[in-house]
Amino acid sequence: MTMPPKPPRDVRLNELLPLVRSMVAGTSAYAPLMKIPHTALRALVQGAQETQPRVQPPPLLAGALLWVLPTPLLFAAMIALGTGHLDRFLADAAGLGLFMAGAWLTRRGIRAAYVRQQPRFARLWRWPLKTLGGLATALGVGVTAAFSVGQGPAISLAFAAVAALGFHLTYGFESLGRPRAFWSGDERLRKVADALAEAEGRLLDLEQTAAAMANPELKARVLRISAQGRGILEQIADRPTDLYRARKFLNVYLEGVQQVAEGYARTHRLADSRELEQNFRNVLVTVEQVFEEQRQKLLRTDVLDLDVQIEVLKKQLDREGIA
Amino acid sequence: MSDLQRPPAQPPRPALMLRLLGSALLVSSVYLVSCQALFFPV
Repeated sequence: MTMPPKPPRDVRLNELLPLVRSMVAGTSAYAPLMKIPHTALRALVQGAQETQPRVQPPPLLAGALLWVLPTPLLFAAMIALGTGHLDRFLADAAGLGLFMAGAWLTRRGIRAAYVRQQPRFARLWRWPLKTLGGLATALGVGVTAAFSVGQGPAISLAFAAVAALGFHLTYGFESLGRPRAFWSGDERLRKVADALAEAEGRLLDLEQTAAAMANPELKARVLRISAQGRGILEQIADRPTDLYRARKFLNVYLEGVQQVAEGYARTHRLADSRELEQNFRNVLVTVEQVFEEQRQKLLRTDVLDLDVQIEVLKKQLDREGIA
Repeated sequence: MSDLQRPPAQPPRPALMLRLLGSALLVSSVYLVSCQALFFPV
């Protein structure tokens, strides 16, 4: 009997998943070698899929160019300092400071675009970090050209403009102000959209509050509630008529849980009390139940509507003598 | 698909050639001006 080739040792989890899946299905050459029960394998695959991050990490070297390129300016500043030219040193240091600030802002902007959970409905004001980084870089080029090299204002401006254009083509300036997630002239749909945006804003606040919580269990509960809330919002977006049914959820519970979570986070910093923790836990358990009930209620309505539609269709078919 | 389900529009990324051109412009301007400051100061 010929043995199948040994699997490579250095494989990532993502690459391993298809292999394990094929083992579970019994189609892999390694399947006979498996001694682990299939149920355990299935649980492993499912668990790994659930723990895989939904967002990709940013490329490690994205934006690294901006840190490296101004290196000669560092030497220029040190030489100016060594030779006793304070004015030249200050000019070089100012240019270098702008370059470093630009590189830092750009890196933060790139990372934020990858890591941050993109709001689905809400339009939030956020600092355009990459744009600010680009402006700092262009300003750094202009300042260095004018004060360290001694170019005239026109040439310095031209240098800055070339750097800004290069930055825009490489990293892209962010557009100021997020566009609406969708456009609709329909008054009713616009109301739904506004309600969804407001509700998502509350969920984002809730997630921010949760991030600052020290207790991992309570943090996980709050994040779970937030995920449930997102699910309900998606459901409303699928069927905007659900908004009227879910209004109490949006107005009362969501605002309530946000206020309680903020209150807990604020008070917990001042006094560490078991009782407070237990009370907060009780509230969270109740809210979790309410959210689940709300989701089920919306789902039940879907089923009910489908039943009615099927009934109507059946009657129509009967009437037309098809069924 | 309802209007609410439509995903938000993402700003388009520049094409590869344009990005390469951009990198060349950025490298030449920042590096050139830094080297000038080092070798040909005021």
